[in-house]
Amino acid sequence: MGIIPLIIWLIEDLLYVIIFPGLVTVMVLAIIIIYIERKIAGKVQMRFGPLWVSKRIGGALQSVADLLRFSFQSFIVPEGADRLAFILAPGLMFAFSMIPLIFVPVGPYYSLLFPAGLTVLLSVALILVTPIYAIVIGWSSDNKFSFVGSLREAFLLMSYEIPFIFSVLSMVIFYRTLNYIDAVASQYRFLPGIILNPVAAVVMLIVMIRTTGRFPFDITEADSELVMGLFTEYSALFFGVGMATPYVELYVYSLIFSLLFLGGWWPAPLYSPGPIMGLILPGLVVVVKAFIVMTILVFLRSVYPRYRLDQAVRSGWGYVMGLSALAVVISILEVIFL
Amino acid sequence: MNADELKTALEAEGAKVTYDQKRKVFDVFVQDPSRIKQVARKMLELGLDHVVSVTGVDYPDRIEVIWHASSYSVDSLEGLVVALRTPISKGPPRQAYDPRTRTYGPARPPLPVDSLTDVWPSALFLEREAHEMFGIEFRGHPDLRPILLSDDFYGKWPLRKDFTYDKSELKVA
Amino acid sequence: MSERVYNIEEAPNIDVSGDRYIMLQIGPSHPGSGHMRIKVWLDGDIVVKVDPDIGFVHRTSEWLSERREFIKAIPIVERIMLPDTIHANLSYITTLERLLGLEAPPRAQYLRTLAAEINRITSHLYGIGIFGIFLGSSTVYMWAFGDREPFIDLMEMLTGARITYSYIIPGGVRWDMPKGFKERAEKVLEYMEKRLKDYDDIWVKNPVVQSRCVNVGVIDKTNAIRLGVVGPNLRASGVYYDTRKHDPYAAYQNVDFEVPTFKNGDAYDRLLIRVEEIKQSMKIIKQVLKDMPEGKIIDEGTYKQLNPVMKKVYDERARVMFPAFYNHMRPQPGEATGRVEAGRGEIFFYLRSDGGKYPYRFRWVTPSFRNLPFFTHVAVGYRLADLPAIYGSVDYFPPEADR
Repeated sequence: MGIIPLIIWLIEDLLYVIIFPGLVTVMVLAIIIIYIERKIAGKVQMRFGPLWVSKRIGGALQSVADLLRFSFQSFIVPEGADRLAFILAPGLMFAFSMIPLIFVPVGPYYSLLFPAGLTVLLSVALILVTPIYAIVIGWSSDNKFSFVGSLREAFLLMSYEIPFIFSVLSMVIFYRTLNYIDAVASQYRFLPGIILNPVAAVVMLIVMIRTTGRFPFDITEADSELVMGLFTEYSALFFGVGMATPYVELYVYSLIFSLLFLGGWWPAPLYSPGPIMGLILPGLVVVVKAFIVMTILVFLRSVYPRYRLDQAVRSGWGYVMGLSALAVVISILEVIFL
Repeated sequence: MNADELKTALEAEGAKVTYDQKRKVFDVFVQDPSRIKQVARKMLELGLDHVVSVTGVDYPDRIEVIWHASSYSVDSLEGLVVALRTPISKGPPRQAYDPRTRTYGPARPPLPVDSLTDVWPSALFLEREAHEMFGIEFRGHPDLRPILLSDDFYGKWPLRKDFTYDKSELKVA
Repeated sequence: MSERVYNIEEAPNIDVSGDRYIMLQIGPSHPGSGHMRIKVWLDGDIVVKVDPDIGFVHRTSEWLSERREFIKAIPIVERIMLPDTIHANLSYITTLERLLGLEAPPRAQYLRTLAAEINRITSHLYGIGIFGIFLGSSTVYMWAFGDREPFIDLMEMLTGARITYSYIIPGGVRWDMPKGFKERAEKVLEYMEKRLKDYDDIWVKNPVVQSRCVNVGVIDKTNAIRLGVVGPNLRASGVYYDTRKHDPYAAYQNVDFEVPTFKNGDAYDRLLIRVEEIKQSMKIIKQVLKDMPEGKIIDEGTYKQLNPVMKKVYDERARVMFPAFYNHMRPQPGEATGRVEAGRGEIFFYLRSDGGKYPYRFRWVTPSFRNLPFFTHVAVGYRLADLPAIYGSVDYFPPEADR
């Protein structure tokens, strides 16, 4: 490979990572989804939602204003805290929540810095790294509420990891590949995964709600018990980053969900040349699908209160685990008989 | 059991009972504070099963402790509030506030009377309140910490009639 | 469903010193505490001891009232229990009238009942809303506080104020019912009946709410009586007791209503009973509006004391201006007690007069304060996450307890 194609390849990748569907898209989507979450809740709850900032466009810039406010606040490190861990953990948590995006393609020609056929495996493995930093945060804060919050996170992480892996595994068994692009291609041949294996889809949705702390599983940040859970001691941009992390996670999970269950970039052509049909259109389709999934999940805030820790853990080891095992069995049966 | 029967039953215990229906005052006056627990037990037996209020009334010569008891379980008593009242003697008068040293004279000793928390557990917090407001020491109360007042106010017995404060005490930050 | 791990009877004897138990200070500035501090000792996730530390908003209402004329205590007691001001007002005036030997005319009694029931609904909606936010449902919080508004508007129409009404005075009430009030009230009741179905759908029958509340914070009948629980919390444990029935005041002996009771005494029953009581209150309001007698809104004796200008105001606008003697009321020496069923439970008043201008002893106990021993008792043995569910279901209002 000559030097010029290598540079072009690198720039392309950087664009993918930084602009679409990477950092910039994530930030824009997070801001939009937070706005939508508030607006939906406002609609349900007989109020306007955000309105004060940029009144003419319905308060759409409220999230941006919040971000600005966070960035100009002063950051306080509590005296008893483990300084290094306390400062590094939110950033690392945010970064690690975004790293799986490298392995999640949003189009057929999505090239990779790390070309491999194991994208499903790698993204799933990396997605499960994020909660470890939540535990680090709880430990380093030197606050009882943060500590209890991180313990809860640990309990929940363990109880929902396995159903998540089983759910992905069942789809992998069916598609007979560990590559997202091949998985999408096989959905083009048959049907979307949500019809082929609805049980796996349900399990995945439950795990998504749980891992990203949406209601009714908003347990680690239960404000009436634990003030702000993990982020009790945080302020300024670090707090903002901490609050944005679940939305990034939600975005990554939703991308995986739309690739594995919603047919990927269907109805765009599977393999098609050209920058528009090959890159932009499939990407947009996947992101829009993911966005719809995110919207549905954030809507749950208006409907449900939160479960208790022991109930969530019990259901995680109980019926969610059972359902995920069932999903694997369904996939195996389908592979045998279809 | 109606009000009249209650009256005869409590008079048998040696209490002075008056009943004013119009003002809703059913007053059981026990002259001897040491007999208070016995009368309270009798009242509990007759169906007055919870305490509504515990308070003191500060008179020039004495402090009266009043337990207002009522009933949830006996139908005919449910409209009554029975005041169990006993006088206890006051300690020495309190010394005036000295603005120079910013202190009062030595606090008066609390006045002892039997706690009725073992008869009526519902008096637990009410007796704590009467203690910090009037300085009544309820003997046998499991936990006589101040409840509404802050710790630096403890010992001043603010609801007694001779409670005074000095303007210089009111430091407004 | 949660099970109680520690036996209640032995729990207070547990020695909580040492490293075995972790102590959490919930409050006084905590989203789930209100103006109080709850010290909670945890064994893992299980609460072994609760020690409520109250008094952060103690406003010395008794001390203040003993140093003022009788009539001036009305705003003081009102400001203690803001969601439920009419009951503070009503209980004080009921007792004061007994002390003075006054009797309000029937129309005034009916107006008092009307105001009290409207206020009870707002108080219960307040409680339901706070319970909602404690369990994490911001929707119910917003709904309940939003649906309080029509009732507060009604009260504003009736009394001229949104929260602090000072509506009830010795011998009657201050304003007559304005024109168009009845129609407006009927419209509001119709709206609320519709809304209660929505509450059923999103809150009362929500599976998450049920799994959080059923069998949590159980207090049985014996213990409820023993610890002197009051109000809806008492009736949720199956004790049939309501001051409105058993020690009637205002016009309650003339209206027909039921006292709902439940059996289990858990958080869910305490939630249900508030919904049921809202229904009963609406029933009472309908009856009161129908049966409202004609006549004066102030007793004859007071009416005679009005000077010509005041009489003119009374005749034209049905408004009582304060005669001067209100400020110099000197009741006969003696004592009086009064009880009123407020939204959260029974308010008790004890007034003693020595024939002077000021009350010699002004004593009142609010329902939240009397629910405290029960709260310390009931949370023991459940999980930390159950604490908001229990605390919310008790409908505890710290300023009211601190007085």
